[in-house]
Amino acid sequence: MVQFNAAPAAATLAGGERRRSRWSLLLARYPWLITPLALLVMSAVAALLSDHFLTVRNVTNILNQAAVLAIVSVGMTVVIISGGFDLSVGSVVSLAGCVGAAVMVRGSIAGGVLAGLGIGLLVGVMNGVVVSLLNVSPFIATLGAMVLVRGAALLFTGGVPIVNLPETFTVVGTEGVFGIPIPVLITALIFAVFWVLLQFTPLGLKIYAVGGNREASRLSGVAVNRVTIAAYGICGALAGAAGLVLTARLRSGQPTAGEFYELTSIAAVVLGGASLTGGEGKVQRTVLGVLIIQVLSNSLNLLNVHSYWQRVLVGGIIIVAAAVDRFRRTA
Amino acid sequence: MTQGRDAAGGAPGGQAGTLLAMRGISKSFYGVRALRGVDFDLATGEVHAIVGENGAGKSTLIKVLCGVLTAEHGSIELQGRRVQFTSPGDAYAAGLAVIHQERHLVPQLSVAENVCLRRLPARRLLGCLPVLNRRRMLAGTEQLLETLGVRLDPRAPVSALSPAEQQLVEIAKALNQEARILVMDEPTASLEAHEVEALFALIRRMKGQGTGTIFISHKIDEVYAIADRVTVLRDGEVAAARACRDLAPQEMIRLIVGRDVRDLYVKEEHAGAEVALAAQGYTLQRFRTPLSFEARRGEVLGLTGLLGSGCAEVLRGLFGAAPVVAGELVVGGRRGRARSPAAAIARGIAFVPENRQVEGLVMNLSVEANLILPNLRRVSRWGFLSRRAVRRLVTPLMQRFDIRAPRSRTAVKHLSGGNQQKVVLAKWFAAQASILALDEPTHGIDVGAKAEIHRIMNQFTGAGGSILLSSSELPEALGMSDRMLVFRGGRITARFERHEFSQERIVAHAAGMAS
Repeated sequence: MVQFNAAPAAATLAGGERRRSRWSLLLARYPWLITPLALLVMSAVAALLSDHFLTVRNVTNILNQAAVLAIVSVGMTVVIISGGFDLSVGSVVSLAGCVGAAVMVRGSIAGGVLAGLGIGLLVGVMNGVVVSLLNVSPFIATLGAMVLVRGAALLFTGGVPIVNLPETFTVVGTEGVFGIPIPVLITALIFAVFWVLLQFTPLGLKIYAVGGNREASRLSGVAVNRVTIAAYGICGALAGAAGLVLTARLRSGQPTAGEFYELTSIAAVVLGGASLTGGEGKVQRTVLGVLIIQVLSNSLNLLNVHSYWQRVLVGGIIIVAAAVDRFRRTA
Repeated sequence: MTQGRDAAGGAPGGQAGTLLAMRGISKSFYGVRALRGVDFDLATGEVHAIVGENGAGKSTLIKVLCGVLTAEHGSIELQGRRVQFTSPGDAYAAGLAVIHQERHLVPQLSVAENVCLRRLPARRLLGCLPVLNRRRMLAGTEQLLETLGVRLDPRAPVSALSPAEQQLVEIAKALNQEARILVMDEPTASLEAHEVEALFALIRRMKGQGTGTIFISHKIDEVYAIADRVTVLRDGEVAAARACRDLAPQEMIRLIVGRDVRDLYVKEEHAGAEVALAAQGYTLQRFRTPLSFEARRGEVLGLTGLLGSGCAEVLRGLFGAAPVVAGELVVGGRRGRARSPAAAIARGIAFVPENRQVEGLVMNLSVEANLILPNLRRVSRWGFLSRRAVRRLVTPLMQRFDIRAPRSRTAVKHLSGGNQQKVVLAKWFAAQASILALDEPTHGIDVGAKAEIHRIMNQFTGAGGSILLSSSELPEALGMSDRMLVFRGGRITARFERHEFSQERIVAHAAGMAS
């Protein structure tokens, strides 16, 4: 098994350093522990405040609701590790969902799935080409794509949701296997595939290398443009997959769906401790970031906090988390 | 320059002339001692050099002095008064001008704006609104540059300047205050010989005005040229602190590395007759001059010239990293030029860039990942990285190149400069390159690691490889090359065989003053 991410330097914190508590010592040595710990603490607090939180039904519900965001965020992690980011994923979720739904309404489920994934891949590859070959900054390139693709979704549907999907497809959003909702299973599969891709394949190493130092990677013989295009392509295809799952859950293709997914998924990656400058990040930590966001909004729901307040709180937590992360890095 | 402040300093009865006294400074990082009880003094008008290997504690000592780091033990006295700077701003206000190794300039701003950034001259518009006084800023900068003997347009944007010119701007910026102590961390690393001379003239002038200078350098000859006293640091401790005239160069080198280094440039001759690489009418886009030269098996072909002479650019062109518009390259009997680094690597050409941190390594990846990056095909099985193949590649490389890292998974950013450079070289050995293009391979590396890099070069030529060596350090280029090409303005102005080498003639050709 190969791991590319460098282990922290031998941080023994022996004599000379001022005494610290056991906890802060542990965190200094294993800084990634902070995300799972935050998730545990939040869940414990939620369980104390609400009897409904720690029920099988509610936990299943949290995972089910987190599925779409998690799929988008896995793709976002790949792009962010490669040194870019992608603002177009929210729009891709909706366009892929709508096109997929339209094909399915005309009778072909497999065709719909392929169309949804294909649209996502296409937009992603185009983003990658614009960023790497035309040298446009990721912010501008994907901002343009975000507006363009959203417009395309509205044009394609005429602004009207696409309904009457075949039942064989919508069960994906409603049914489960052994009590585990299908969207959660799909997410788990995608997570496993991309965890392996990033940690154990040459492409994974190249993605880390290009994000860490593009020029050094080029001079080491890495086809950097191809790697960038691949990273954006992966992100787009996963946004397409998320769009299909969302369509199944909503039982319709919604041209306005997926809004804010681009920002929430970037937030999840950042909560997972990745750096927006590229070269670091892990899918497993991103998934924890997604769960933090989902547990937070779920427990606020249980506590009957108004949804407007939820936004304020989620936003605040993202800022605090990023600031804590910065502080930890520089300290 | 220092008057007016001296009156406030100088403790009554204290040793007159002592500007700075650091006593028993200790500092550790994660339990590793970087400095152990270091004493350091600086007298008025003195140039005190600090030398030592990378990681010996030079930069840490400077960072403690100017408040970037806080020492665990020890005291600092500035003109008899105990001080404890908590930020670089404090140190600056107390008259410490620090010129760091890394440049801290805003490339989009002009020379004058950068020089005055810390204290922008303002005037009042309509008696109240403070606005930038551009005229005073330009005039002040012009005057400052003149006293430094630097010819630069204060209006020019910094991004348009050469690295050496930027270094001069950095120095001007540091001196744009009443400096009592001037700290220079490897100030000559990117300077040409005549610019170094100008810098030394400036240091001497400051010295005459009573300014004390702390001069950190790897270049022993420079230390002897400018310093009065030298402190040798080794493993965070003072190995010696003596007047320069009481310390012979060989002795200093022995103190730095802690052992004898008999000859700085140990060269083994392996040059054969077979041509390994031939460039015919090779034309770089930047210079548009056709170049023809060849390198034989086992040979070190030196390329030298002043900054901007094009010799580094030639190496990049061969490696497919700089645009080439015409010409042919014959490597191992195969024709055609490499259009990308990947294509060059496939033909057995490897390139070690000048700036290993920016271009040579992915700093936050591990030693292991950096080593396998150009060799991914060899460590992959069925589209996955094979742990066993990786280990089989990495472990012997780390041993053979004596890469000192706690583990193969340690990030290269935690390694010393010399070890980082060994990682860059090692990855190309693993790639089984037959042509090694080295651009300033020992830039900013300490004496011990330098010797190791030269040993690695000998190994490579001994095994039949060819090296193209671009080095602005002439003694190194002379010591290690079998033949030498001298570049000026993108053309080859002279070719020398090893028995014809002479420093004077090569410098004359490089400077365009050969008769």
